[in-house]
Amino acid sequence: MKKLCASLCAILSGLILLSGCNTKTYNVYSNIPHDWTKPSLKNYILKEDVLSVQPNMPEAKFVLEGNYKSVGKTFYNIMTSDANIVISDDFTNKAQAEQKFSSFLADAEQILKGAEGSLSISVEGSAVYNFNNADAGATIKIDKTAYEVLDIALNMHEFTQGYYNPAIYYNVEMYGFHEDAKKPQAKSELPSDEKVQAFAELSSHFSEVKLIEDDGEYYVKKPSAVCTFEGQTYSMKLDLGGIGKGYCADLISALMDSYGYEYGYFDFGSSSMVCKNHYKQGDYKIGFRDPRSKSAQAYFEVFVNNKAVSTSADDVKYYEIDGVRYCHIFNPTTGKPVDSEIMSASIAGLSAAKGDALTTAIMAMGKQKAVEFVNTKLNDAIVVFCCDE
Amino acid sequence: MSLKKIQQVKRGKAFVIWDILIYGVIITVIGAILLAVFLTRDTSPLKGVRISVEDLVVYEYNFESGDEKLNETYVEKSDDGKIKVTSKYGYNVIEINKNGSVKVTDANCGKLDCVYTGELKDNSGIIYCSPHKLKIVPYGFDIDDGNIIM
Repeated sequence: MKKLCASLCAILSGLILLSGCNTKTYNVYSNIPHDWTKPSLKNYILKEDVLSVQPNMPEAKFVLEGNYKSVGKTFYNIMTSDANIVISDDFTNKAQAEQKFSSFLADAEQILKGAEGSLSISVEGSAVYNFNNADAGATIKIDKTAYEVLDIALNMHEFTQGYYNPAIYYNVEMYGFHEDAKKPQAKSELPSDEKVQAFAELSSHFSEVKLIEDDGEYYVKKPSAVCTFEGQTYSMKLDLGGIGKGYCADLISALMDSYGYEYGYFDFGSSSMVCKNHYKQGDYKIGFRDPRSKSAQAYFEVFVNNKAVSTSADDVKYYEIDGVRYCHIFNPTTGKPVDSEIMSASIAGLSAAKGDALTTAIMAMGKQKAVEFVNTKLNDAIVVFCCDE
Repeated sequence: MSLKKIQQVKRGKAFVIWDILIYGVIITVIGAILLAVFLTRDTSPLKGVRISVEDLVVYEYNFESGDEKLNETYVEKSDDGKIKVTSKYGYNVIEINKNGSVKVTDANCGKLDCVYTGELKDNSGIIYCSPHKLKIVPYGFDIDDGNIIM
């Protein structure tokens, strides 16, 4: 009997100890006033390094009367992601509301397909495809979408002192993060430092991309810099996919406005979204996913309305070799996947396109630089990031 | 073990009262948990189903409105109303009964566990095809509850 009790106690104590030991703690940095909100998981500890700002929070609207309901549609495989539109509208006049939604969806699809046709790296004839396949120093005719996205990309490149850089194309490819690219399976299959640095140097010429607008036509001049490696010469290539999703989110937000939709949201690949008001509760509760959990639980939640929200995290696409994590977000200065301590970064309150570029840049900066950057340059946005320090 | 000790063990009872008590408590706790799971399961009729392959939603059907969303890359509809979901892992043929039930009628997954799972008629279960990483789950909640995880 005593042995049985002792065994039970030992098992119980072991379980308690194990459950305690497994909870690793992470630090959270945010410029939201700390009395407003706290991390929603116990193992995420809010730090004081980032100065609090008073975010611009418009008063949320919600519905008091009418036959409101939510309708949605998912557009699959746009720019290698899925885009999800949800609208809440008054369906008292069902036929009219359905016709309006159907027309809205047709316009939204046109926007998404149009952006993909312009920004895709794989669609032959797209503006980005033409840029990537042109000779160094060439001037290429592009469409308005590519022009506007490139303009934002150049601005964000300068604003982040090069930490956002869509010209890190070859490095992303050599680490196996482009679609259909072969991922290294062992350390010996990783690209050499020499190769990584050669192509990172090429990407550092991104600021030399010149945009030209002439009589309603749009052009881009490709930098004359090239990279010669193992006897082959490479010119600059771009991947505007990340920021392109944010750009689409901004266009869909404007489309929702033009249709008079005040309630609903648009989410593109779970990295870029715009939300209006929620028809029942006003604010949307946006949870930023715990990047070290396999389940969809949030480590931090914010309540927002009429804002764009962007997130970058190192758990979206990654692989591990010998215990080292290689993720799809790159540090343009090293040309390698980010190995800074930041696991996830989120921004709300700017345009979605800018937010996409800035969250990527914050991931690449590392904690110290990111804290300085948020404190000095991002006082007009809500910023949250978490670190494994 | 000494002879004296062996004789002591032989003389002892197989179960003393405390052993029986502890076994009773353990069985009661397990029974209570099973009962709680059984009683709290959601047996309300299906409002809709969502089919996903490797977490990618490929098909949704709303039994109330009749609305259907499908990803044509993976889903093919046949004339008899069945849908065929084909991925790199293989295919599953699924019958959506408009009265509010769903079942897998055919698959090339080997053991056919998904077919033998039977019909999904309420919100209390799911159909899962492990070899094809295909899930059929009840879907009937408000598509916009105001909570978004990203």
